[in-house]
Amino acid sequence: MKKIVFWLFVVLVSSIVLARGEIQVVWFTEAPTEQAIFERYVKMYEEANPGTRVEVTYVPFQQLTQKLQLMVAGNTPPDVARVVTANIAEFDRVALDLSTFVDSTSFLNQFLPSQVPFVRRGSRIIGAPLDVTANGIFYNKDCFAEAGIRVPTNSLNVWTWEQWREALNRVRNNSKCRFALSYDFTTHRFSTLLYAAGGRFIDDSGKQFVVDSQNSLRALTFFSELFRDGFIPRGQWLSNDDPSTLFRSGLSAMYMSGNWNLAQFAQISGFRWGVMPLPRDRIRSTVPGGKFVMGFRESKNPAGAARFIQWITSKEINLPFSRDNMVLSARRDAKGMKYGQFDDAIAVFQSDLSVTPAYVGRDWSNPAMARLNTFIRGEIVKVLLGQQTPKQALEAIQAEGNRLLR
Amino acid sequence: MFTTGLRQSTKIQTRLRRYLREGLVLLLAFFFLIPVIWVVLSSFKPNAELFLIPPSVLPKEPTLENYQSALTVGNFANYTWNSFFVATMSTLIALLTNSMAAFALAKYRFVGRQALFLLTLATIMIPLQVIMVPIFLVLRNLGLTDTLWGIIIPPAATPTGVFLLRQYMLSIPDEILESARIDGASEWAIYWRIILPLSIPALATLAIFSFTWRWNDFIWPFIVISSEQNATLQLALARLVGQFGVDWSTLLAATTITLLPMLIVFLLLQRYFLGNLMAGSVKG
Amino acid sequence: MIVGYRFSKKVIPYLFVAPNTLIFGVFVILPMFYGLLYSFYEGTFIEGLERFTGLENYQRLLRDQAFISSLVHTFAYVVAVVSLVVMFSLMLALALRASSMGSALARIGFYLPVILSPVVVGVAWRWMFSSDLGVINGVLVSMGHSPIPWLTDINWARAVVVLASVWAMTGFYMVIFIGGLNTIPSELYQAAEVDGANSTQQFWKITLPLLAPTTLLVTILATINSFKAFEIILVLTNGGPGDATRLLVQNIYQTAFDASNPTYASAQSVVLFSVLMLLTFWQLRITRED
Repeated sequence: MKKIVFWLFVVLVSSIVLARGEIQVVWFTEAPTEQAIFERYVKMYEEANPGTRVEVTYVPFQQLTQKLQLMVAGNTPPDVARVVTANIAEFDRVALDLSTFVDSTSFLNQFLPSQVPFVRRGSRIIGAPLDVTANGIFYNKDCFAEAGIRVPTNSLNVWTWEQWREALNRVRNNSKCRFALSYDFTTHRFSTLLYAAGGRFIDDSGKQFVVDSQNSLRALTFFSELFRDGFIPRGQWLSNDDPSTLFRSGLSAMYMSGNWNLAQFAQISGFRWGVMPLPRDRIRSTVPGGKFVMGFRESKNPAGAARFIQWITSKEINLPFSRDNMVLSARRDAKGMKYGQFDDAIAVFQSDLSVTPAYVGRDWSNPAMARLNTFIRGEIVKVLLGQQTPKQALEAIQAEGNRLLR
Repeated sequence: MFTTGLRQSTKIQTRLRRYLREGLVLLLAFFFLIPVIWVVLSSFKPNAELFLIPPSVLPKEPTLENYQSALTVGNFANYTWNSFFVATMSTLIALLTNSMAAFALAKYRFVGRQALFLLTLATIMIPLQVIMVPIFLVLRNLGLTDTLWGIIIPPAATPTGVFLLRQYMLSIPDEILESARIDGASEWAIYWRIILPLSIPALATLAIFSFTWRWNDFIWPFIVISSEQNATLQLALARLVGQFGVDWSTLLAATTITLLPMLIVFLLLQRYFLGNLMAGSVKG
Repeated sequence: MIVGYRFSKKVIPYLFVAPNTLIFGVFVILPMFYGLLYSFYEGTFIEGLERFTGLENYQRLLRDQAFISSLVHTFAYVVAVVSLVVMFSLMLALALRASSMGSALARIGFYLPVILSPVVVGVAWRWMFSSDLGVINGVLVSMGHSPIPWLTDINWARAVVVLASVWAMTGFYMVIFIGGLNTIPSELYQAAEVDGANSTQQFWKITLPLLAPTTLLVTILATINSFKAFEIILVLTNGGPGDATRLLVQNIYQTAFDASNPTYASAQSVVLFSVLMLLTFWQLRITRED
């Protein structure tokens, strides 16, 4: 009898501990280095909260949305997920409202004003910003030196598109870099050119697509010419070849991507590299974005989720975490934080961010963009394959976008 | 004297021709395997050597650093065990349930038999991906998401297995069953003591294929498994084929790790892989 | 007693099919009906079924360029893969049917790709054929040739995708063909030789006709398997360039998950399913007439 009571007790206690103590986290990664860093912080959390176990599932960025959709559809959402701007709009309806766990004003006040609109929905708080991202261009210093090209270093001597194209031509012909420019195969990275040309996807009301414009046309035409002239290896947009590999192995002189690569590029040993301000056309602009942590209303352990989210976005954790990952913390008190060897590079990203118009971020926080991503990319590829003109592509994107918004 | 000489020379000629032909097919088989060989060779090259022009055939400075980085990315021992467990259990269940169904379809006349068989045939045609969303919902309702059983049980009802076994069992003469019945054997005994032992070649074929399919399965674990501790080898590999930052050096090492166990099993059991099929155990 | 025996005799076959049918019904048939139901609705993963729309999804399919082209690609891919697989595997079977050491080794070699996972096959072929990093173009360039756009030109990419699939499947059907060849009695060939028939005549008059059932089986199995093709292409070209190698299964997958439109994807599944059913019944009829 005693034995039975004892075992009942054990079962009871362990079930309570299990219910209280486990936090299921879905964490997307873009490089193996990120995983190792996050694992260290997970250990720290478990040590600081005895009895809590953090169970992490790592998902490549490409499969993140699908994984979360399936988990939500299956009514088994994780407690915490790391997401990007597009997801947070998409999962708005099923997000955990943090305002029931924290004091809203002081909680939101910790973060940069640019990131707050993404997570505040009226009185609800549907996530917390981790870091700020910006698109940018990495370049191979050795190849540029070999070709005798001076690269802009700050906001005063930014290249125009024509100067940029000239530099691409020279570096390809006069250096050991086989390819001029690696370019991520995403609508998001393409849009860097769109905004620099003065174009945009959606108007201020957020209800109307306005991408079919002269400025956008200029951007798409310029982009397709970069392919036609062989500056961007065709495999990257036509057969899903990995642009990052080309740059990291020193084959590509430049790489259009974003600041989240810094930690991985820190391991490059074959050549020296740097970051240059984005070339300008009509205006200077980058594409701002962010990474966030969010919880889900129907998850098993919402209280644990809220605690974990507060912890990882707190000053004591988020600043060193951002430094380890070499990303721009989304906290206000991170201003002036030093990253050591990458301070120059980070200053370039910050300078690009500071001149970017507000509507760029709004475009990308519109849920329509998350659903249109693949479609837009497909239309651009049709232009690259010569199956349609840039003008036709923009018309198609605008029509499909307006159909979605209606 | 003269004729034997001639005969001998033609003998030598045929033998020569045979050697030539053998050499030729072996060479062809080698060419056929180049993609695999190239992955394995490349996995030992340092990152800088991977993209050399002209490419180096053998690694100039062989290194294990790719394997080191692959092993730090994940717990490959755990993935391998999960893959093994899933493939084994799923195969055992498939052998039992498929052979039972095949027995009934081959040896009994009952209402709905034809319909069941047609249904089995028809569902061979359905790619799993087509119904992945509803399947996931069903698994959720049964509490099978993120469990290894969630990837073991559903694929066990292989329509192909039922089909293969039924075709094989059709060739077992009914007289044997009849005489067993006259001797008073129960239907279960007939299945267990007569049909199964006589079907061993077909069962072995199915076992080997089922194991291979489950080991190589990617989509199913991807839908069902969400936690790290339940991940399989294919899931871990696919994780490295992300869209950005595919690290070829790590990917090639992980690919080699993934294909190695199956390769060993195959080379050890190749007689069973090839032999049963060649013996004509699969009949039209 | 007798009544009981009859009753149990009637029940027994159902008991035998029960476990398999149960698994099958719950995990294949039931989801299929769910899928059919979804196809008449509008909805997303997150918000569930929102609105009954009747045949709206199906009407949209008729005008959907992406869907139609993926359907056309699927048929072209299946025809190309199946005819090449049947041809190659038969040729290999004829060459390697002998039970010598050399052919035994060669058989193992040709069979090996069958045991590789589709993800591995995709990685391996991509590593060979990548336009910018692949070893084939590396060799071509270092010999002074210009690189071939294996995966960036529409036609080349289609060819590579078909070849990779054929490569991965051929060994399996080769072995089935060898099995079929072994069932042909050797006396037939001896008799033909006595009658003075040469090896070409023997092939057309004896081998091919007697191999017909095996050829049919191979054709059916290869057709089924190539309709399911997904992961190899996903890793190799991801459906590109553009949508040149995007097959229907991938289109469904992308509609559901990239474009977050599972109900529209369900309508596409229903179409694919109907096509496959028609094909199955057609093949069954051929089998029976045989």
